[in-house]
Amino acid sequence: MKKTYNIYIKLITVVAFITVMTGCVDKNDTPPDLPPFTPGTIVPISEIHEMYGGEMMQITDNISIAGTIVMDDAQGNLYKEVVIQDTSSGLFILLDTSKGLLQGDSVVINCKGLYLDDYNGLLQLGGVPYTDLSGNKRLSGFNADDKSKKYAINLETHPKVMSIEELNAGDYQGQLVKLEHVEFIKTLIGRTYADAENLQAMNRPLVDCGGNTTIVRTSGYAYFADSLLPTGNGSIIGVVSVYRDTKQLLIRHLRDVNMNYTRCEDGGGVDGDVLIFENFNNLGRYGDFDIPGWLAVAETGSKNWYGDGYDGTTAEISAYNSGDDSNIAWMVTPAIELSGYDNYIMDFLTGYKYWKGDILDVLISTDYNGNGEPWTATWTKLEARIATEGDPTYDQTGGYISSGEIDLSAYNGSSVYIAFRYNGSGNDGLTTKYRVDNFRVYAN
Amino acid sequence: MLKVKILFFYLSFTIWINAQNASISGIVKDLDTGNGLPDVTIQAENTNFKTLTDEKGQYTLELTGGEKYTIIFELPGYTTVTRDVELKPGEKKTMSDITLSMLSHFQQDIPTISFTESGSENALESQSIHGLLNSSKDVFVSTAAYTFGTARFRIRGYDSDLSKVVLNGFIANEEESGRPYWSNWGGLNDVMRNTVITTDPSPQGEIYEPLGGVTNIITRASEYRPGTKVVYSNSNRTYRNRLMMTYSTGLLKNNWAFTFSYSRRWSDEGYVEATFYDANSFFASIEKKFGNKHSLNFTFLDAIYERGVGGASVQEVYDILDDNYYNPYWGYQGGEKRNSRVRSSNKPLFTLNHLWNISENTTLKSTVGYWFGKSGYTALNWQDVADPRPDYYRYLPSYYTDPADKERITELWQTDPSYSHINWDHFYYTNSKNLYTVEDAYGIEGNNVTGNRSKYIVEDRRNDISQFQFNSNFEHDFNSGYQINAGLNVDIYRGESFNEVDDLLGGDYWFDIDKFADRDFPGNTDVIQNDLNNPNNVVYEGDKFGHYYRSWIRNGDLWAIGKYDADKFSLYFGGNIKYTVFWRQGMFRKGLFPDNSYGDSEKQEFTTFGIKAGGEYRITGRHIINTNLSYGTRPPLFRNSFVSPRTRNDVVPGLTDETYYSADLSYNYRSPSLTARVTGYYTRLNDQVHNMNFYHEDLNTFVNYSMTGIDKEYKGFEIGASYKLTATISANMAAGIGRYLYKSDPKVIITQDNNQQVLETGEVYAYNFRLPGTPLTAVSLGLKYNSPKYWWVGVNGSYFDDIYIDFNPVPRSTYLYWSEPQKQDGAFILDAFIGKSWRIHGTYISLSGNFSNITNNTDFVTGGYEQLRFNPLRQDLHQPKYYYAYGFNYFVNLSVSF
Repeated sequence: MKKTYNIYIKLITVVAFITVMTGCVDKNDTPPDLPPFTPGTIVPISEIHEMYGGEMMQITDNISIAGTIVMDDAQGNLYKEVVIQDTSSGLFILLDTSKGLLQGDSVVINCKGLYLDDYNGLLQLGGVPYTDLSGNKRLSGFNADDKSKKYAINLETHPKVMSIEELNAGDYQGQLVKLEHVEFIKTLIGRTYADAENLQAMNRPLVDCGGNTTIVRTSGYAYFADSLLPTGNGSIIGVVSVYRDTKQLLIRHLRDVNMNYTRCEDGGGVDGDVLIFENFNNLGRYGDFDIPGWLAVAETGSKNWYGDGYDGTTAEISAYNSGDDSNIAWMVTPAIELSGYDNYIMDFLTGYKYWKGDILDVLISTDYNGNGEPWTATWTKLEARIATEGDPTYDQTGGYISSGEIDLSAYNGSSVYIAFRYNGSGNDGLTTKYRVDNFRVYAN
Repeated sequence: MLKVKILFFYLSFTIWINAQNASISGIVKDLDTGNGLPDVTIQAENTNFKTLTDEKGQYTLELTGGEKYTIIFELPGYTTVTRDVELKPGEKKTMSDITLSMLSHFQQDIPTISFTESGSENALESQSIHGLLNSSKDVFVSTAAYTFGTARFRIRGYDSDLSKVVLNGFIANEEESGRPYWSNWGGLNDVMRNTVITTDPSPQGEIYEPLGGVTNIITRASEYRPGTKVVYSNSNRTYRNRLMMTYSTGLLKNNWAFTFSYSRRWSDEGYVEATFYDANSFFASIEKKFGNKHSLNFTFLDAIYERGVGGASVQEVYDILDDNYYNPYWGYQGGEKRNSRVRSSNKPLFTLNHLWNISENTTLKSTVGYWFGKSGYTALNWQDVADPRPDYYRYLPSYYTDPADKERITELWQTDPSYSHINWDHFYYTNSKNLYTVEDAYGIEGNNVTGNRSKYIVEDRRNDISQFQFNSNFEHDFNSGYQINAGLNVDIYRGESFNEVDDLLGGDYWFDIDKFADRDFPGNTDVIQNDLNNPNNVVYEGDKFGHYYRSWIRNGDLWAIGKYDADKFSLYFGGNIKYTVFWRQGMFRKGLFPDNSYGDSEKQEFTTFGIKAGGEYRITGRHIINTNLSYGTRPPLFRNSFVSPRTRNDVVPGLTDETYYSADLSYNYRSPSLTARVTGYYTRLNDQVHNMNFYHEDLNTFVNYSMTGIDKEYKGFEIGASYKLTATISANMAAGIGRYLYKSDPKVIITQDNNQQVLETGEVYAYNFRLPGTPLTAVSLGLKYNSPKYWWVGVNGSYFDDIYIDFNPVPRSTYLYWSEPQKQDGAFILDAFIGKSWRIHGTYISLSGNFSNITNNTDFVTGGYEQLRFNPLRQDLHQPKYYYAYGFNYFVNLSVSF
């Protein structure tokens, strides 16, 4: 009896032991079956813009947009927001995290269930609306991983090159553009992109040499917020945003800004360093020709170069009323060192009145020694477009003709002089009146 | 022959033998086996007449004739029996057989206090006294261990690093935190019954006892009762099932003894949702005696576990879900519950003890031990995604100000489990299609890795150890009442802390960069590196990443205590001197701190000391007064010494050792019907250091928050009483009433985590704040009926009050936002227990049940913490997190011994 009992107990023990040893507790960490990503119908982004009627709305159709992320928030100029662009248009997208999508990602975003709203004119695609602390209804960010799939990464982004005028005139919201030959207004010299200390965003006006203006807006959280604005002229790439009626350009990182060239007022607005620039403004109206380093001298006859014009004066000459058989007047630049660059380009403006014949030449010399008698040196004529009969004559508003880009690269390594030689005659009536302005040589 | 065992509470008595003219004799038996019980202490109350039973359970106690005596029969782990005798001069009386029964058959299989987690991410569960080891005979201590455990009661308010656990001669407190972690030997209850617990610095002889006392677990194979015991338990607490098996040979004729134990605890879910439990514990003890002089004992133990744990959340969530046990750590994965916070451990401990009875009065005990292995807990990590934790403040209704939004979010919480819990499926979905190219991986130019970069992973935050210890203590009895006890502890420790990729959750790899540095220094490819020696680290499952450093700690502790024991009183006096050196060895060169993150930090050296004295005065045998006085210094803990141990070698400015002093005074009353103790205590800890890392809202950055000069005061009363109403009914009462206060305004240095820049210095105005995390008032009353027919039933009512939650120092360092720490409501908890045992053909069967919180009080906050993130403009955003005591819970136990 006792033995049986003990055997029974021991048997139970062994069975229990084995059961327990082999039993297992499931941690439930086997990967789940994942639903495939379903894009729905892909529509151009422009259709999303058209769909929006000016009021917050939910997208209920099973549609997607496909494009490249042209701007992300990794550098802090956007926060929990990216910009997608396709061939038709671009769109700002609100996400629930920073770096939810990255620049160069090629993605399809399924828009079903997402919301559209404009923030002071800027259309945004976002998630469920909520009311913010100031009582405004805003879109929340949505989860990009739920709603999108990447098909390729690290793609190059290609900005559309345009002028400020075009930018301001067209609707390029959400698109990546490149403005060339632009600069921040002069009063911003020494300022930063934004107020990094107080984390305040700043609007910085950007102008071209023609005076067209747009805004570069930078968040105080951008990592380059405390970088100094470039003081020069050049190109800038950014995404077009709007605030009410104002267009704004948002830059992605400082690599997008290449503005180290000479400013417009110093002859800039070109892709290169200006070696010499002269706008003759300090001559004054009817002033004698007196510019340090320059030479204006009449080889024959009595008329010489002098200042004339309205707001800014030009170098002017006319043999009218001279009475001379020959009136040859030289205007010669200082010596220009053509070295240190690959390409040297010269340009200037000319205007005329009372055309009597083409009597202005542009010459170049490598052996003139600056002795005040340029006619003693060897000069070569340069092909330049100079105002001539058929062109409009100049007036108070301008009407000057550009010389076009005159390539001086052949003179690389030399020290050269450029001369404007007026070959008039009071007697023969070769008295065409010329004006020369904005002479410059730049190199790159 | 065998050494006298000393009960925890009474100081050692030397055996006092006088020529006596009368005696009693007889035999003491084990109720279970009917065999004689050796080593039972037999003492005439209020006297020094004392003896032990021999190996057959026989005894003879010499007494003076013509007197009345109360004779006490005591053996640790067994019931105590008293008998009154009156002896004529010269009488040699033979007593009837005395039977003692193992306490384990009564309340001893009482189990588990719920493991808890504090807010600090470094904290593993830890408790100063644990229900598992409840074998103290002191009413207050056993109540504190078991009944008060529900409320996270800490004896005298002490942190657990103020007490030490000694496992067969090996100090098992973890070196870096100073705390004992009971999970390291969980499930081995049956082999840890031979335990002596003290809660004050009175001498026990193993080590130099710290302020909070010693738990001495003796695992010598020969000390176990021979036989086999199988226990099955069922519970709804941290686990559902437990099976324990223990086999012991006892001391065999060839002087070998073997004990083996195995236990498994398991459940798919505990009281809290998604807390699975899977634990296997192993134990072996082998002893060999060499004559009477030497004995060698080898012990191996290992508790291997993996378990999902629960975490605290904010009241707002509890209220929305109408569930105070909401666990933010889990979510559905493929329709099944998965926990993101899994603790695991596998740390085998080997000890070899040598016991040398040099002479009858002299013993030398030595232990060498080696403890090593891994432990850690998993957590989510993420990059470039919104915070995936469901109760992150932005996902709560309170984040919104508009009522419609609040309503919408509340509804999401109540109806959408992918919102109210972790959304594992989304993690997999995300990771499976996040194409990304890491350029110049591992710092090799042109080595581009393209694949699905995981945005979410589960990381294992590991803390592995390798520890060697040599402990030795020497005891000599001068036979004149004088005794000397001295020892040496040598400890050599190396910890390794790092993150390991546990689960890529469907992605191909994890790109190991510092996401906060990336945020603060975008585009800087050096600064974002977690290890500049291996930049652009692409890691896979099992790889180390994030941070990796070693903690080297070495110390030597030399101590001695002298005792004198006289008729009416005893005294002790002792001291220690301890040398500690520790340093950090960075294994990664952090991009933010290339110059002081890799390699060894400066060595931090501390020489600390302690002195203590105390004793007892026996007014009569019934009235005893005893006291302990101690003073000393302690080295700062490794965990608190480095400004940011994960990233760099910087030491907290002004790091210094702590000073403590303490006094307690107890009055003890003991009669056959009433046992009572009242203790008053006062303790002061000065110059503590505390270090935290968190996001500082005002300063808008991650900071290292170092507090120094923290002074704390602990004072209060402990009362414990047990009264026998009848032979079968007894009443118990215990009360702990304390006032634990901060006694300084700690200095604060706030350093920016990114660049070591000191952002702010100041003070935390915490003077007279109450210490958090334990009820300052805990009272319990119980009744127990013990039937002579081997069944018992009891009921216990407890009341807890004055529980304060951990306060956030940030708002308390300015008067603008200063407020008192939050006090929680008091609570009443009712517990009951019942059991019966049978003996059938030599097989002992015991069935018992413990039922806690039987009124199902689910509103009892036992602790919590204010979040360190503090937004002065919207203080409601970062609400405190609370822990609640479990509602009704039970533990049923069936044990079979043969």
